[in-house]
Amino acid sequence: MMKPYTKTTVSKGTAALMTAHRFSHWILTALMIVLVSAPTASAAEDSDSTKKKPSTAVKKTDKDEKKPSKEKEEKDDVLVIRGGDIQTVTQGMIRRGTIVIRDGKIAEMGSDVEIPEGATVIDASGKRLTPGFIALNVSRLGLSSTTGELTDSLNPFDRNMKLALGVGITTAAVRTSGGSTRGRFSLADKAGSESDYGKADNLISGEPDIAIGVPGEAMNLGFIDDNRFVGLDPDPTTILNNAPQATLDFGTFQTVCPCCGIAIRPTEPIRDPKPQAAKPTGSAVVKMSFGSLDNMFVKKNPFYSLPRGALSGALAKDTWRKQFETAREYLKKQAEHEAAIKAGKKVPPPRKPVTDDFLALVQGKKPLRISALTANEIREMIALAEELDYKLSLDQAVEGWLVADEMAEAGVTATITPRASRRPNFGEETSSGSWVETPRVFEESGIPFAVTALSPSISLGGIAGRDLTSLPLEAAFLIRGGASAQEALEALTLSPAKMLGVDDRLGSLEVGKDADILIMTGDPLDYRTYVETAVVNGRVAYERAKDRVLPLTD
Amino acid sequence: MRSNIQMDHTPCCSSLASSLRFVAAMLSVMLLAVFPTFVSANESSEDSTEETPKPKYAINVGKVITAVSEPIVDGRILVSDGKIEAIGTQKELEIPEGYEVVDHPDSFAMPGLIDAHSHVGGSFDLNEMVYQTNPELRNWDQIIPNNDALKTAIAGGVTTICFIPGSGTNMGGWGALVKTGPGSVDDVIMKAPGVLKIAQSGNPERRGGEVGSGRMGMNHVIRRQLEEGRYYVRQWDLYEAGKLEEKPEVNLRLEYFKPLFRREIPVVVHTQAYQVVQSTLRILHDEMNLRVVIDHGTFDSYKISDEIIKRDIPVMAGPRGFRYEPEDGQIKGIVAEYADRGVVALGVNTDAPVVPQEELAFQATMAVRYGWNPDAAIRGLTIEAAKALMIDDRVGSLEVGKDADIVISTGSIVDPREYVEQVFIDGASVYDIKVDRRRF
Amino acid sequence: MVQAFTTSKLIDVVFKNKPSRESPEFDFQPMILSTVCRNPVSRRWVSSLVCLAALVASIALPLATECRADGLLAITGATIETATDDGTIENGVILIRDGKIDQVGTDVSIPGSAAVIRADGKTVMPGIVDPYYVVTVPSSSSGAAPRTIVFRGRTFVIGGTPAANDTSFVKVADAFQAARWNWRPAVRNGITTTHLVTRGFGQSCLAGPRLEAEQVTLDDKAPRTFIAVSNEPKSLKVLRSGLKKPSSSSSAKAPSSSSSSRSPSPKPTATTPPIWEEVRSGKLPLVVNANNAAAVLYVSQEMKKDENKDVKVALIVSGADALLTLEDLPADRVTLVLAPRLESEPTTRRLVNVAKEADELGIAVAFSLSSNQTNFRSSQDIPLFAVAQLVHLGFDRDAAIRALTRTPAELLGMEESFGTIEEGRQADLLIFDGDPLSATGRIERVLSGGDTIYETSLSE
Repeated sequence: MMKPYTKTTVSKGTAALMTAHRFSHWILTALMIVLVSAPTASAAEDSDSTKKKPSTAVKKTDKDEKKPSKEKEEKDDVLVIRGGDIQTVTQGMIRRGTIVIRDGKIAEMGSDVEIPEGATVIDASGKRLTPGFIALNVSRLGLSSTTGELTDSLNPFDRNMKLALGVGITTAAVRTSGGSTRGRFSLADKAGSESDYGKADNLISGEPDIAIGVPGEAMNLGFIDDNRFVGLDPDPTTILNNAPQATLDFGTFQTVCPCCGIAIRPTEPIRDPKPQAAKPTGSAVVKMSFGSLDNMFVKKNPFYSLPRGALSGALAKDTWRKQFETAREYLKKQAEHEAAIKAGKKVPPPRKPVTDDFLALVQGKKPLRISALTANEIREMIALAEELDYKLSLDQAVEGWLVADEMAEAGVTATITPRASRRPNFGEETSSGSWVETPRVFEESGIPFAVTALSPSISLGGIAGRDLTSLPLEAAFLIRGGASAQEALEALTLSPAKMLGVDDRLGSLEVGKDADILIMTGDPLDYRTYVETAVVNGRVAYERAKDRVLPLTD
Repeated sequence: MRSNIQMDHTPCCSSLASSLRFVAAMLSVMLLAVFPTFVSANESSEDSTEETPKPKYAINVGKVITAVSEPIVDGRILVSDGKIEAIGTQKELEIPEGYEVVDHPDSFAMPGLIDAHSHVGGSFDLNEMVYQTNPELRNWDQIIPNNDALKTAIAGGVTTICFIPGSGTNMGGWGALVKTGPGSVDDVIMKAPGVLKIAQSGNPERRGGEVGSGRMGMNHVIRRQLEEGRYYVRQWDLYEAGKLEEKPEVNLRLEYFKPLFRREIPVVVHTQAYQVVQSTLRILHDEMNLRVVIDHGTFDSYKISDEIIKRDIPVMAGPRGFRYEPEDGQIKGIVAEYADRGVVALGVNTDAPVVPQEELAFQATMAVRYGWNPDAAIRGLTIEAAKALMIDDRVGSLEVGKDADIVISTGSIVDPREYVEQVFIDGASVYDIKVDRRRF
Repeated sequence: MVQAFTTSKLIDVVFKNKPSRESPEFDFQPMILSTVCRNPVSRRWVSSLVCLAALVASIALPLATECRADGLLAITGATIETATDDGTIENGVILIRDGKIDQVGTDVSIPGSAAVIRADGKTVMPGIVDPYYVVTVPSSSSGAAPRTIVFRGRTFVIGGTPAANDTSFVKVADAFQAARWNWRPAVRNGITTTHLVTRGFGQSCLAGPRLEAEQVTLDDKAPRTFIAVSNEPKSLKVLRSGLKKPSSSSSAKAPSSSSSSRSPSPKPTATTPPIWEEVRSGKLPLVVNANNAAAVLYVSQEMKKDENKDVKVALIVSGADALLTLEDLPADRVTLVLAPRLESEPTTRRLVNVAKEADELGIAVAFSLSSNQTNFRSSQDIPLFAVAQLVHLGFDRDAAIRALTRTPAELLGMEESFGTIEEGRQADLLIFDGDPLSATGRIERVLSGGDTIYETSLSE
C-alpha cells in the first residue's frame, strides 16, 4: 500500500485517492493531485555549495592529521585481495591478480604484486573482481533527509545499502531536493525506501493481482507523458517535481494542511505566474560505505539537473537565455573586479545574480542534465546546448536511437534503461518510441551512456527485478540490446563516473583510485552472479554470507 | 493425474480433432454475444495467413530443448500443418521434399512459453463488480488477437497466455487460453472456457455493507456459488446418465460449470499468503473437488508446500518473486522456497500488465537468481504451465504431434543477455528478426 | 556538592515519611498525606518552587536531628554487594548514622541504641541510579499553534512548532513538576536517584524518587548538559557549537568557576552555556542521546577531533545502534547507557548481549532501568530480572552491579555521595530476599538516606 513518502507531503489525500482507484478503471480520470513540496532553501543550498567544498576538503586533511593521534595501528591496516581475476575496465583483465589497498585507495595492483607483511588478506581465487557499480537517479539511499546540510544527514546504517551492495552498487547519485517543473505529473508506485523496510509483512493484504483498474499502486509501473506505459517506477520526488507549476508557486511555505493533507491553494488574486527560471533538482553522490562516515559523501550536485520539459517552449527558452546572459555578464564583471584588486584598487565585488551551480554550468564545469524522451526533445536540447555552449547529459533519451548521430556529434552523454519502453506513435511504429537495440546504436555511434534501473529506489514489495537492485540485470539487457560486454560493464562503472565527474576516483580499478571493489561469484553481468564481498573505501562493507540479506543459494 | 494426461496426447490427430470440435461447440454457444468484437478483431489483425496452406518447415538449431527430455544437440524439427511432425538430430532426420529450411546453427529451440496469469489478451475491462460472483461472465469476447502487448510478448517468447478476468470480485468469470499470434479470434483461442477465475482475498473485499468485507464472507460467497454450480452439473450428469428422467432446464448462468466440475478445466485462484492458500486447498480442492491452480501463491504461501504436494496442486507463482522475511531480515525467492520444499509442478506468471507480458522469462530469471534451478525454470515456463492449465496435450513441450509453437533464441531464454530470434506459432513464423524489427 | 545534595535530601527527613506499606497498586494518597505530612506548611513548601529548597533545608536541619534520636540503624547478616573494589562481603553489617553509611564490614560493633534490620540470608546492594530518566517538559515556545496568514494576497497556514525534538535549551529543574510525573515505578524498581533529562537539549537535574510526588526530592546543584543528537544538521550544529572553544575573552572567565557547586542562577544561553566549558575540559561528561546509529558515528567523529580529545560522553543509545557502532567509539571516553535487555542484531535478527560486547571492548556500561519501559512498569518487585538474564548470558556480574550503581554515579560526578556501599556514602540501599541477579531476586526494602521509602508487602 501507499506509504507516506515524507513528513510534509503526500499524506492521506493521495492515499485515499489511490484506494479509491483500486476499483475504478485505470486510465480513468485526469487526476489533479495537488502535491506541494516545500523545497526549502534549495537555492540557499546552491549558493552554499562553494563554501561547502572546502569543508569536505578540510575533512580530508582532518582525517590525515587525526591518524597518528588515533589508535596507532588501526588505520595502517593494509587489505589485500588476491587470486581473483581483476576486471579493471580500463586496462583489460588481470588473471589471478593481487590488489593491495592502503588508506582506502588501491596502492598496488597486478599479477606479481607482493603481499605486505601483516596485511589482512582476502582470498578471491576463482572469483571475479570489478569496480563497484555506480547508480544514477537514486532516491533516498544513505541519506536520512534530503534537505539541509547533506553531509550532516548521512545514514551509513541505511539497511537498504546492504541490498544495494548485494548487487554491487557502491556509489549512488541520490536525488535530494528542489526542482521545479511544469506540466505533467505521474502516478506511481510507492517506492520501497526506508519506511518500507521491516514492514514488508504488512504487505500480506496488499494485492498485486489484476491491476486492471488499479493504477500504478500495486504495479511497479508508472506513466510518463500522456499515459504512455513505460514500466518506470518514478519515486515520490518525481511526482512532486512534476506537480503542475501553479501549485508550486507558493514559495517555501507549508502548503499542505497538516491535519487533512489537502493542499492549501491560494485564494485571490490569482495572477499569472511571473516567468521564472526552472529550479534545478539537487543530488548528492554518496558511497555505500555501510557503517562508516569516512568519505561516505563524495560530491554535491554533480549536474545542473532540470526536469523534463523545463526548457521547452518559448518562454522557458527565453528565460534560460537571459539567465545565461546574466551569468556571463557577471563572470565578466567578476574578472574585471579581480583584475582591479590585483592592480591594488579597492572596489566592491559584483553582486552574484545566479547560483554557483548555474555558474558552474555556464563555465562548463558541470553538464546540464535533463530528461528528453522524444527525438524532437533531444534535438531541441542539443540545439539549445550548442547555442548557449554548455555540456549536455540526457537522462532517458528513449528515442535517442533515431538521432544518435546528432547526439554523438554534439558530444552528448545519455542514460539508458533498456526495459523502460515507450510505445511508438500511431502509424510511426518503426520511427518512434523506444527500441530494444538502442544500446547497440549508441555504442556504434560512440555516445557514452550509463545504465539506470527501472526504479530509483529499493522496494521490498516482492516484485522481483524491477527496483534499483536490478541495475546489473539492466546492464545485462544492454547486452541483449546489442552492446558489447565491455560497454555494458562501463555503463555500470566508468561511464557514470565520468558523468558525475568522479572518474579520477571511481569507475575502474587502477592504482590510486578509491578501493571500491566487488568480489563476485562470476561474470558481473550474468544473472546468477552475486556479490560475495563488497569493499568500499578500502573497507569491507558487505559480505554475502555474513549479512544474509539476499538468498544464499550456493 | 497429470501423468494420465501426458499419455493421452500420443494420438495427436484425434486429440486435435476433438479439441477443434470442442472449440467449435463453444463458439456456437457464444456466437450471439461475440460478433462486435470479432469485427474489430479481424480489422486489427494484419498479417493473418488465412486460407493459404501452411508452409512446411525444417528448423535446424544448435540445441533443441524439448522440456520433457534431454536436449538434442544439432537438432532438427520438422513442422507441417501447424504441428510438430518430427524431432531429431540433423544427422538422423532427413528433410523431406517441400520443406522450407530455417537455419539457426548456434541457437536454441524451445517450446513457446505459457503464462498462466495474464490480462493483456484484449480490452482491459475485465472487472464487472456488481455481483460478488460472476459465473455468467466470460472474457474471450474481449480478445484482441495479436495486440501490441502480445506482439511484444512474442518477441519475449510467449506463445500462449491464460487470459483471465480480474480479481475485483470473488468469481471474476471464465477465462480463455489464447495464442499470442495473429489470426481471427477463432484462430487464437485454444480453449474457451479455459479456466475459472476465483479470488479469495484482498482485491475482492467489499466494504459497502455486503457480506464479503473479510475472508469469512468471501469464502461463503464462493462456496454458495460453487454449490449452486455443482448441483446444476450434477443434475445434468444424472440426466445424461439416464438416472434422471426430467431434462433439467438450461441455465446460461451456470452452463460453464459443466467442464469445471467434470474436471476438464481448472480453476485459477488468486490466492496468496499461507492462510489463504490453506483455504484454497480446503475449499476448492478438498470440498469442491476441482482442478486447482494456485495462481499467485506469494508471500509466505510456500510454507504450506507439504499440503500442496499432498494434493498434487500446481503453483504458478507470481507476479511477486520474493518475500522479505521479517524474522531474519532476509530476502527469500518464492519459487525457490517452493522448490526446496519439494513442489515440482511449479512455474511463474507475470499477471501482465503488472509485469510486462514479454518479461515472463525474466520472472523465471529472477526466480533462478533467487535460487531456483535453471532447468526447472525452463520446464516451469512451458510444460508445467501447460499441465497446470490442462493444455499439455497441445502445447508446453516440443514433441511430435503437438502444436508447432517454437521459440528460437540466441541462448537460454532465462538469460537476459540472450534474445529471441524467431517464433513459430501453430507452425507459422510469426516473428523473425531477419524480417521484423526486434521488439524485445 | 555532597553537602548540597544531602541538604536537599533532608527535605524528606522533615516530613519523616513512614515506610508506606500499602500495596503499590493502590493509591492511598489522601490518607498518606494526612498521616505523613504532619505539617501543612511544609507540605506547601514541597510543592512550591524548588529554589526554596535551600531555605527549607536550613530550617529543617535542627528539626531533623531532633526527630531522629541518635539516628543509628544497623543492617545485619546480609551479603553485601558493595560495588566497590571490595566486591561482596558475606554476613556483613552496615551501620548507618544520620542517613549515611558509617561502617561496613564483618566485624562492626552495633551500638545498643541502633535500630536493627536483620537481613540474614538476604543481599544488600547500593540503591540503583538511573542515568537516563526521561521526563516530558512542555514546550517553551508559546506560538506553537498553526497560524493562518495572508501574504501578497494569498493565504497560508504556517505550521506549529513541534514541542519535542527541538534544539531550544531546556532546563529541567526549571520545569520540575513532580506531580505530573509518575515516580512509583522508580521506587518499586529500587531506583534511589534519577537523572532527569528530556528528549531535547538542555541541563539535567537529579531527583530522589518517592512513592508520593510531594516527597520527591530535587537536586539541581550539579546539572549536566544533555543533548539529543540525530544525523541531521540542527542538532549537530548545537553539538558542534557547544564543543567549540569560545573566543579568548569569554574563556578567561571559565576557570574561576568550580565544577560542581555552580549556582543555577546565571541564565545559560543556547549558544554558549557555561556548562559546556566543563564538557570541553572533560570534567563532566556530555550526556548524548543518540537517536540512531548514524548519530553515534557523528558523535564519535566529533569526539575524535583533536580539539575535543578531552571530551567524555555518556551515550544513551539503543542496544542495536550501539552494537553497530561499538568498535568505532573511543572506548576510554564513552560510557554507554543501555536499557538492560537482549537486542536483536539488525541484519540477522539474532539476539545479542550488547552489554557484554561493550564490556569486553573496555567500554563502561550503565543501565537505565526506566529505558526498558515494559519491564520497568511491570517488574513487580523483581526489578533486575532483565539484568540477571544478561549476566546469565555472559555479562560480568560485578560489571552488572556497577552498571546499576557506581558507573552511573560516576557518570553524574556523584560517586562521593552514592553508588557504592562504603563509609561516608548516603545510605541508599536495597535489600533483596536473595541474590538480586537471580531470576527470582525479589526486592524487599528500599532505603534512601537511611529511611525506608518502600517495602514490599510480602516481606517478613
